[in-house]
Amino acid sequence: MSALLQMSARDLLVPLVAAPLIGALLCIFLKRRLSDFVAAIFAAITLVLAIGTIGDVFANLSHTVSVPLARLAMLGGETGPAPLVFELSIDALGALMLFIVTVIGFLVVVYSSAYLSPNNVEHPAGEAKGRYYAWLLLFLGAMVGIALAGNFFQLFIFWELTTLCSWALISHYQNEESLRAGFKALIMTAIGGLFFILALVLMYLSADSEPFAFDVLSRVAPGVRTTIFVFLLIAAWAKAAQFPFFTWLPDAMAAPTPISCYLHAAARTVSASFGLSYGVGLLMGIMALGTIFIVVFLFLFQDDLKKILALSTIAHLGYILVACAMGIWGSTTAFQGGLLHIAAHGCGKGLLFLSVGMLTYYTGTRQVSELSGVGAKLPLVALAFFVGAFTIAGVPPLAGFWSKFLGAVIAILLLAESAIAFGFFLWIGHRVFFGKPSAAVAQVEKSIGVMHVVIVLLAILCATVHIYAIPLAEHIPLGM
Amino acid sequence: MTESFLPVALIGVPLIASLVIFTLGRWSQRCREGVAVGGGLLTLYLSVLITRAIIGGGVLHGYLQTYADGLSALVVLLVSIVTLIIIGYSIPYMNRQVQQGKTTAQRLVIYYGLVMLFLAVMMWVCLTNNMIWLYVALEGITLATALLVCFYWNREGLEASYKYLILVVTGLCFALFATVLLYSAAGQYAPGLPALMLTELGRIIPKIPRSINLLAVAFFIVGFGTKAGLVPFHAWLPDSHSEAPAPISALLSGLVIKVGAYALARTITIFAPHYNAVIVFVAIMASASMLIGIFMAWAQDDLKRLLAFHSVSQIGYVIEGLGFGTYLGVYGGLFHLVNHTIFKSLLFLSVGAVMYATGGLRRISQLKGLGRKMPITAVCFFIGAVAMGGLPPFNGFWSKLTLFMAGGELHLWWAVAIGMLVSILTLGCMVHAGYKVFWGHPTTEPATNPGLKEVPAAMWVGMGVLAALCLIIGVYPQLIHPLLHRGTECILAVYRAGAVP
Repeated sequence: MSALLQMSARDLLVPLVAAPLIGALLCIFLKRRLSDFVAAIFAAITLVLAIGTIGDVFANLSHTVSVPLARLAMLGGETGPAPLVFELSIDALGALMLFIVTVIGFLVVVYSSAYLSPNNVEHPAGEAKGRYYAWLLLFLGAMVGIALAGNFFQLFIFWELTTLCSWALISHYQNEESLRAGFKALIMTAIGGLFFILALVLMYLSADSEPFAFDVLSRVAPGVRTTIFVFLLIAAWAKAAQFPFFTWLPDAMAAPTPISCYLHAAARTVSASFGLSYGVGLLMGIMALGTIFIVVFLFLFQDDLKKILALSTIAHLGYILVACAMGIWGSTTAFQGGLLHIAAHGCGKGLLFLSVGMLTYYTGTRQVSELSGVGAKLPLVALAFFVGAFTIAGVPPLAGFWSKFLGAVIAILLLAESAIAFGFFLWIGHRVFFGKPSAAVAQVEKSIGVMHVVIVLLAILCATVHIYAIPLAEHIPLGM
Repeated sequence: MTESFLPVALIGVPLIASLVIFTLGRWSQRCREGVAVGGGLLTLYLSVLITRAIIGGGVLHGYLQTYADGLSALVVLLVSIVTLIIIGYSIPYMNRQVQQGKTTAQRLVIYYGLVMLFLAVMMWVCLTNNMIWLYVALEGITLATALLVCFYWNREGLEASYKYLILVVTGLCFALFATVLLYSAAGQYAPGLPALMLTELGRIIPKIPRSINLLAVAFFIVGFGTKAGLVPFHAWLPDSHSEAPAPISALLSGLVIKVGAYALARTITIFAPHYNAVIVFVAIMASASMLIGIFMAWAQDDLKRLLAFHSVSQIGYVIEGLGFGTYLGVYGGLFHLVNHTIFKSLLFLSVGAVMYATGGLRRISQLKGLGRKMPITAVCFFIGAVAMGGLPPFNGFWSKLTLFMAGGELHLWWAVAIGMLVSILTLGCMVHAGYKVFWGHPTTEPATNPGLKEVPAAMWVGMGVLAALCLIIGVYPQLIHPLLHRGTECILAVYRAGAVP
């Protein structure tokens, strides 16, 4: 243990990416309880390594640790130097992502061991657990890879790996509905991936050395810089389910953690793109605002709890992108506030999804109209739901950040939207958790298990996340 | 430049194996299968030797104007690996066909004999330096495979085989025209140079007038393009691919159309850098091939025809890259040639496994939910599908990326855009087909049939090797970089009329 404590971030980066991947390989061949156990162990190892790494980053917050690993010879041409394409590195922004990804990843793995069981009223399932864990751990590994990416190329590779994993996980139950949702998610996000490839091609053609490094945007001609940025932005829109790609997420009802992770790419790009034109920022801001309002409108007609959460995820990713757009306009505080919200939203929405998951586990339905009075039967779930709702509602448009740089109009718009959404969540919570138990709820037997522990832990994390996140966010520079 | 017996031995070994099978094969089953597997193994061993000799530098010369450089080594190695896998796969597959009464045990002599003959001629194509012999060997491949296409000797097979023979032989005539044209022009404009040597083309072409060169390029593209299945010369491909026995479909799509691409790599890459028009012309042809192939593929219900149209589409990428004539372009074209051979053979073998298990069903509408009973086949199919769709971490991604970069380098952004569009359509088409066949709850025949089970190990091991290759090259593309780099270097050296390194 003492040897582990003395290891620096530099030594931990490779095992950190390797651990979940090895776990995924093992899980393919395992069944039932054994796969629960192995998956949890490997997720825990990843978490421990991540905490060790983050601790090291805290020791020197403005410092970047990087481990170059591989160059791609073919892109060097006949004689030229081969560009670096695989490099693990960590700085404050990476640490922020890494923390959220590994903590929530670990909690989700543990939660799944209880959720995927024959007792699940909505989806009684216990088979194919090994396959499920393999994809989940691969997903975790890919997200760790995104958080630790040292250049755009590697970011893209792991990003596409998550496309593959989310496709497999969304389609896990293999019924008509999940297959269609998985297909839609795969195709839409792969289209986004193509724009990322275009951006990579442009970087390769216009930079004279190390074309995929994060600072490449500052080294190319202004016109090319804008084009690259817009292509990356389109890729991020597709992955983060922004307009016009937002339709896949409500169908997939995917968990929010991976999705917020994609914003890492957007954040990287923004933090690395010094001197982008105001027009680009405007485009980014307007698209994000547009998405937020379309989604809020769709909110009011939803009866399916998970879809409501998915839509709310889209809106929150929109907030973060607005914050990034502010970053392009030069507001460091807005940018850092947005990044902070990645962490807060990751935890809060994770908690919401897990508590709704428990609702469906016990009652077999997730229609708001069929649920009422759950609070009496499942008090912890009710508590978790409200903690999650408060967490996601509070932070993002911390009015102080915005008002400095924005016209009051945008601030008011965002606040209005935020208030509507928060009110809606309270109303939903009120309907579902209070009142007289409905038919679906009445048959629930009280019990306590792993899932309860997980949501309590996550609720505690929600309350404390800012303690870790704020110092990290404050050290994320704008314009490299 | 080293004298070596290896090229001749590599052609000789499968040829002898073929003769042994034809003469002794009727006596015992073990004899024909054993000789085929043994011949395949020995060929693989010799290919590895050739590759090892070439990869460090230098080229090999042998009797009969045989010649081996980096490109030959690459293709020879690929061909021997895939053919060996196909032979291993054929043993249980063809025996099942005999049990089902689709053919007789005696005719298997012809089957294995022709496969080995095909392997010999294939090696000859890759190892000759003489343009006339290249043509002769290509015709040899056509003959050997045409007889395999109509192996079941039924109406559809004969029709497909007839179509295949007529179209490909006619097409290849154009390649012969081009050769003759260049030869006669060289006599006048470049006297004293060996005009039939592929490696000397780089020195001859700059001396020949533009009009003759362009005509020759056009003829080469028609000729070898027909063999490669390029639109609009692709009409033979879907019929012959779907009517042949499944292992032969893998052979046709994995290897035979690649010979056309190989011949184009030997010829158009030398013209392209001299004439911008050639680059654009090839890019237009290739893009048309990609688009038409993928649109036709979406309309298919027959799995083998679907894969055949995907071949038409994917060969477009290969030829486009070769046509660019730059380092990245040629590299990407060769890389995609290798990758397409791997994943398309894998896909055809997976479909063959489905046919094997279900008694010959190959329509998407007849199949549903097979994945639970046939997990290995399902995984192999999906790996092939995703690799062809160009998602990392599978091999198809790297070659497509290289091609996109090569296209961007030449500012052919429209070609890059078409390549990307086709890439996403391919992914959608393949995954969609995979969904229908393997996923979903088994509710109808044949998925509910209790007799349905995974194919025997001799079949899935080969598929597993190919699937693993897709993943390994995808995770670590540097693995085959030395080979591809040598191949690209050799091609570029010929057009620059310098010494082959």
